Amino acid sequence: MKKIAVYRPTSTDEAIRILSSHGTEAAVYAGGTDLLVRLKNRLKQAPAYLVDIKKINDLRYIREDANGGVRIGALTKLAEIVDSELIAKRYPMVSKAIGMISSPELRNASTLGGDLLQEVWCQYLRGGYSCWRNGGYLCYGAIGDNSYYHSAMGGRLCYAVYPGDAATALIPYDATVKLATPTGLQELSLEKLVPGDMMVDGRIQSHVVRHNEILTEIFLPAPRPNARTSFEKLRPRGVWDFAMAALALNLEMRGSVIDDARVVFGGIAGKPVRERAVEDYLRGKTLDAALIEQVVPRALTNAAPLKYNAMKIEMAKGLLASGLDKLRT
Amino acid sequence: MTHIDAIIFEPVGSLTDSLLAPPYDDARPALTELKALGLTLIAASLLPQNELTRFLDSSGLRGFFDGVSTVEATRGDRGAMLRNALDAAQIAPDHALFITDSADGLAAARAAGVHGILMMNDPDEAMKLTAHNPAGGIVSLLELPDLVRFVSAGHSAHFGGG
Repeated sequence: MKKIAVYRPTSTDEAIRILSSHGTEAAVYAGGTDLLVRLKNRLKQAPAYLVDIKKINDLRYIREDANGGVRIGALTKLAEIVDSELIAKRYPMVSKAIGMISSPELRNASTLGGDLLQEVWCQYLRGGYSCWRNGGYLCYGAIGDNSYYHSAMGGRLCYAVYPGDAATALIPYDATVKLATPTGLQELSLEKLVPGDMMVDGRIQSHVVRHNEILTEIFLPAPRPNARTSFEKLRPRGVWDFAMAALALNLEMRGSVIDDARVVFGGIAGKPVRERAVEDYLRGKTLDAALIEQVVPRALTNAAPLKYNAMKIEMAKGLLASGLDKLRT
Repeated sequence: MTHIDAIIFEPVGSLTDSLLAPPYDDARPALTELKALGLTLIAASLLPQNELTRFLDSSGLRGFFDGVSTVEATRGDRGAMLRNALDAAQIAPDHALFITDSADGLAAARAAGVHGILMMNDPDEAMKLTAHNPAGGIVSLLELPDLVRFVSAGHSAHFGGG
């Protein structure tokens, strides 16, 4: 591992000051299940200064909001979310999705903030190849083995998929997040937090958080009445792996009619893909077998698979058909 | 840190499969964005000038290009072809990209002191061509604006950053 220095601030203001003083050489250290692996793998892009925010007390909580929503501190462990009765009752899809992330040991260490902002798990990046995210000049995933961890929906220099399952399950609940920045708190939708490969501070990353900003809270609005939800994930192994395709559905029903819909695919692109064309098509229609048959071909029409991953699109469409079918009853 | 002022395209391989075929779908939107960034765009080819000009005219891409260069004037020397094009545009080779999909193209870029960018049309062929040390590689022309911004931010070691 390269030589690193670790800071242990006790407030977000102090952490932001430290992060600002070191520029892109510093990074937030929370659960460490992504960051420490990057350091261990000696990636060029790994930071030299770690700002350990675990001593900041007020970032680890699950609290009910006065309006029926729930606030989750960014340092809350994934295992704590899975164990929360409140989350299971209000947002069952979040419980299920987070319960399918990695292994119990890693869920005990990983934080929700870390899961949302994790680096991609492309085997070429993690193997130290000189790719766009690692000080290099091309995407090896685009021309090499791209069957598992690469986008079937196009890319922007980097073709790795956004790996987080939590975002896929949180976006259909219209979740928002809070960022602590040098100029104060900022609030934005979770969908805008992870818009896919983009350049931030001169680096390619999947999220918009700058080097001196800290994700502090995730807010879930009160669930909609008569909502039916479903989260499904296909992966190379039954456990302990990233999604080859995932789907989170949130349908607001009036009897058998869909009043409103949220359809979000994971594991197929550089970001969670909210399929608005499908949502629009479903709205106002009766959820039955005929509708499922009509809507599936309308999904992911802008797919752009690489040489070895066209099956991701078929998997995602299959999940749409089975997910909707499950919500019929 | 390198500032990119110009992009030279080898039309066959970067803009189209052949001069008789239509341009790639992403050519027009990418060229539009690159022009909006204020870049000088040049078409350079091994093919005779009249064939290249005919392709650019018939495909409707002619208006995007500030210059056209062929090997006719340089007796087949592709490096000289690139240098001539840049001299005419008064741009230093180190501030230019050459988009090509071949080993010869990458060699010409190196000979001219231009950054050779590999157009990775065929994944298997592209993987082999990484051995020829391209300065960068792209799958779609639409990635070029991001590439230019990325290089300008100084984060790629191959362009003198990182």
